[in-house]
Amino acid sequence: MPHLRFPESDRSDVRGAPARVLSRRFRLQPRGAVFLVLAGAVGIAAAQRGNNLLFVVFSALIGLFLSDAILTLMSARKLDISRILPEMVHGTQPFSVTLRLWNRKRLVPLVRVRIEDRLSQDGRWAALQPPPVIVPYGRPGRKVRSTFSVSVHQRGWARFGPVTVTSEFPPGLVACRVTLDIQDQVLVLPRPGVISRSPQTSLAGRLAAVRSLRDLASTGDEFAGVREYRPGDNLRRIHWRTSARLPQRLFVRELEDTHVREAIVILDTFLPNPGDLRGRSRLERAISFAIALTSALLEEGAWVRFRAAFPESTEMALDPSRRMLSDLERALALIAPSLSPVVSDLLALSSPNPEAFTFVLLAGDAPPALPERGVTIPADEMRRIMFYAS
Amino acid sequence: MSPVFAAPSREGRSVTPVSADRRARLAMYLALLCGYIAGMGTDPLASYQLAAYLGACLWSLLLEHRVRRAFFSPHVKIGLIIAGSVLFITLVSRSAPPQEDFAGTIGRFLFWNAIVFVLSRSKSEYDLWTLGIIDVSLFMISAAFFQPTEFLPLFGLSCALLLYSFMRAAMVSAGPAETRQPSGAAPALVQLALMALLAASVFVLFPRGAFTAAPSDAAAARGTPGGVAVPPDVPPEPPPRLRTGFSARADRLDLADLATIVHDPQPAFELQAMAEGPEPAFRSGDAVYLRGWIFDVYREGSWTSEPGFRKIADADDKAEDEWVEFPVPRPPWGFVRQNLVALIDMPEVVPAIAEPMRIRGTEYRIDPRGMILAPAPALKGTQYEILSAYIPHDASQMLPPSAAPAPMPPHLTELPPELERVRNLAAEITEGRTTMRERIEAIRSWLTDPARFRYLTVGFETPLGVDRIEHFLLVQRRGYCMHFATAMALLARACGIPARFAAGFHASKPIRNPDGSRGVYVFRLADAHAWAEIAVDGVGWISIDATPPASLVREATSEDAPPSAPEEASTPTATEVSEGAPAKAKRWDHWIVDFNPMLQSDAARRVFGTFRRALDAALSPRAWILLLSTLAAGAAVYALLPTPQRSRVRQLLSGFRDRSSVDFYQHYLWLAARRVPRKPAGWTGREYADLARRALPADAVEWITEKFYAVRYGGATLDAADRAVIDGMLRKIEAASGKNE
Repeated sequence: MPHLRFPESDRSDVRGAPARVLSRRFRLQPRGAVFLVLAGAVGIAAAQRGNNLLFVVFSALIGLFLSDAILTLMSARKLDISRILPEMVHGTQPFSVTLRLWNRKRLVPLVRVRIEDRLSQDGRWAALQPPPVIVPYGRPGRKVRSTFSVSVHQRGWARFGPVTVTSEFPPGLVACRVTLDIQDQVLVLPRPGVISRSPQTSLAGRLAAVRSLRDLASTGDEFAGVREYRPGDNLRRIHWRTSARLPQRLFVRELEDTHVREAIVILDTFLPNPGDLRGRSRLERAISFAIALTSALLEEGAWVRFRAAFPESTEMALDPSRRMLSDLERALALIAPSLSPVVSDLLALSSPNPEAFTFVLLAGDAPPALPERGVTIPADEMRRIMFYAS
Repeated sequence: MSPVFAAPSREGRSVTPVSADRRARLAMYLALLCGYIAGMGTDPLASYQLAAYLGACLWSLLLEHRVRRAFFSPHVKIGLIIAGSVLFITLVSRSAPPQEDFAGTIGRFLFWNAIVFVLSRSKSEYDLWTLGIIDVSLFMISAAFFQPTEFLPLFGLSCALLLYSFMRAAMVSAGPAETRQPSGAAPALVQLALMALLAASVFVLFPRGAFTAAPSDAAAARGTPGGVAVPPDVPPEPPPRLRTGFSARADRLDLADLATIVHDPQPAFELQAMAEGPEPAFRSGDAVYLRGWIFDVYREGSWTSEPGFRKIADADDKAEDEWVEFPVPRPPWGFVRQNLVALIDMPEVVPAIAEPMRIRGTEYRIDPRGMILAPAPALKGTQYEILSAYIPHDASQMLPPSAAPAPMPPHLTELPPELERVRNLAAEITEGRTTMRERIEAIRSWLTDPARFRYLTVGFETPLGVDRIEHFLLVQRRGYCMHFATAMALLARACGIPARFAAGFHASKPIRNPDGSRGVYVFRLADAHAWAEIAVDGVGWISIDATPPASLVREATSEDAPPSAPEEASTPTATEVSEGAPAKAKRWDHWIVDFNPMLQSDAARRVFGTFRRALDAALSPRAWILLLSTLAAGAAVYALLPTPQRSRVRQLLSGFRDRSSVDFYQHYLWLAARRVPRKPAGWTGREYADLARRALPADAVEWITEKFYAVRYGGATLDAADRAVIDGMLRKIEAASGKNE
């Protein structure tokens, strides 16, 4: 599909340059404030009484506070972080994100470092943020890996970053938050839908029709080769001669399909008001349904021509090997609503097989609204066209 | 927010990581033990409490971890703490105990809470914090009241254990439960070292002088701290001072004048004493107290003379060879004749063995209390001939039990109203003692008890609004003879016994002549001493020396020192003399317990001086020449190195790629675009990268990394030459791989 281009993930795990520090904030913890008040009280008592041993205690308390602050600041320096993400994920399905924290310092270890990642989509922070990760200990000069699980509901690019690393050197009287500019993105594919196989539905009937074509094809007359037996294969197709040569294994004949089984799936993305949340929800359902339907059709052995506005009216041809299904998912992950009706254009695209079943998935309205979208379908074609409203 | 992970136990209960980690708890329990040892003082319940604590710790460390079950649930813990608090408040409110007992009560309460926390179930970081606070509180009690010599080592050990405990708890709490974590000892040691450095800096540089009493205008004019009203007849100019610290004008003694007594071996007087009269009389070889100054009014840390008593009588009878007689009572111990020679220029006060009766000479003035004032400050070599009615220095022990205080004016038996706590203390010390002799002995024993008081040559600072002697008696409990003498006098007055302050010189024995006979007494400036005197009915003023005996060691050693060359005598230094304690304890007292603003400024000057000297040395031409020659030698060696070693040096200097073998491997994969994975089977990426690093010259790593950046981010492409180079590298790595296999 040379006409569809997908941007690459900008992956931090293979980037060589260290992460840029966006901000560095030093914060007094509540327990640190209480500690300082107590130390001040001891100091006042020591000064008032002129007691040097109380001065020793006071000095130790202040020394502990200062050493904690210094070590916290030092441990928050020279940090680098990278993120290991899958290239793409399905919506609503949890996936693992690995953060690799590199303590570039030569002497100071990391003790109890808290890492918080941020997730955003479409320029907005996601409602469900990744959980914080706590690294108990990081040796100087070594890398520490931590993994958390997260799920994204909305398709499209999900952007991770920036990462906030909070250092609290024990006993944790102060904290230093360092925000590192480490941006990664992962492509979130539409969440897969589920096709109801209930025989009462019209869709089931169409799929059954496709299946009958497949069964017909499986009894085709042109020998294409042999393959190993898989459960469900017709026992009549066992190739006994080959099976006899290789004991313990069964082989079946593969016959070339000479019948044309083709389906056309048209996805209508017309959404006149992009701010309409209900309409967006319908569109998302339509996209999920489109993928599920296409997958089911491919599973039934049909060739599928998928038509949608990407944003130009485009047709993708998918063969039953399902190799192109991931490309379709990537394309649908980034598809945007169309502001103008496109169903008529998609229907008008020429088809090499006039007998192909056509499934039209409407993002918004039901079939009676078709005339409003400028769709006029001849009566003889209506028998092979099915409309589904999400 | 620090998440606490919980591990399921055998019984289904959850155990916090701190409860599951015995090392963190053991360190915390030992730290608390250090705090208790430092803070228990003379607590009679110490052994029982220690046994209970050790039992609780053993239970916690052995059984709690094994059966995952502690003794107390949180509810029982809270209940026990409340019960302990109620008991503590009840005990404290029923009777107001003395300060030490009060401190002991607080210490017991804290230790009770510690035992409860040790026995409680499922300890978390919160419990460790609580135990840490209890530990620090015990050390504060120890610092404020008991001040043991081993305070600092115990405190340092406790700090180290606390830090380790917190470090360990932070790590095990942050990680998944039952995950093996590093020990945490190394970062705790680093933190301890940094903390000790910072604490020492704060201790030395804290402006503690800003919090002590500011001198009043008059005191500032005299150059003495402490605000004391100045009588109108005192001249405004500062009085001349002796190196012993005594004022030459004999009308005032401010206890705050002397911050530190400096041992000065300069001989001041030479005395030849002979007994006269019936026994018991003076014996050559007895200890001699040469009294010079007498003060009888104590107010706000200063001794002065009562105005009515300071009328100086001119006893000049105009007769050149006659004696000047003193109207003093005649005690029953015979007489002693003294020939006194001034070895340095001395003030107008003439010291003499008590009680002086007459002095040969003219124009001497006398004070009816027993002081002799010369007409002018004496020059070196001046001789005095004095006859005294001898009062032995241990006369109080010769008194009959029925001895009673002599009737004296009220100012000799009254205490200032602000010294109510001293009065209570005196009543406590002499409780059950009925006679004057018993009371005096009780007070002296109490002051000379080495477990309670220590002799130091260093003074101390007094908080604002607190009397110096009250602070000495109730808090500081370290001082030199003036403090002990004043305390003795004031405590005696609190018991209704007339007492006053006397100062002069003390020598325990005369020096021995070459023929073995006892010779003359030599008093040095370092022999300056102070003691108290009490008035006994029918006897007069007898001296009571309440300074701990260990302070008089030097006098015992001075007998072998020849008078003609006292500077060469092998007498110990003043600090050594002041105590028989070991050098460690003396250093502890000098640098910690008695560290004062003067020592502080001295230490600060030393530190800054060291820095300055170091800076001067660093900026000197010699240092520059050394630095430049070192750099030139290094550059020459670098230039002579072969290229690979030169690259290695560059790597070492820049820290480049030292730990980046994995990165190199990663970059290499990217750059070679799927041609590289000829990694031998069974080798990890790191091993392969290390192999590549060994196989290739160091500059090749730099080259390939730069190339990677150029291709990956700079839009560059690999030409045929680059690919040839990469192929060559691959071949080298493959060859090295074969060799290694």
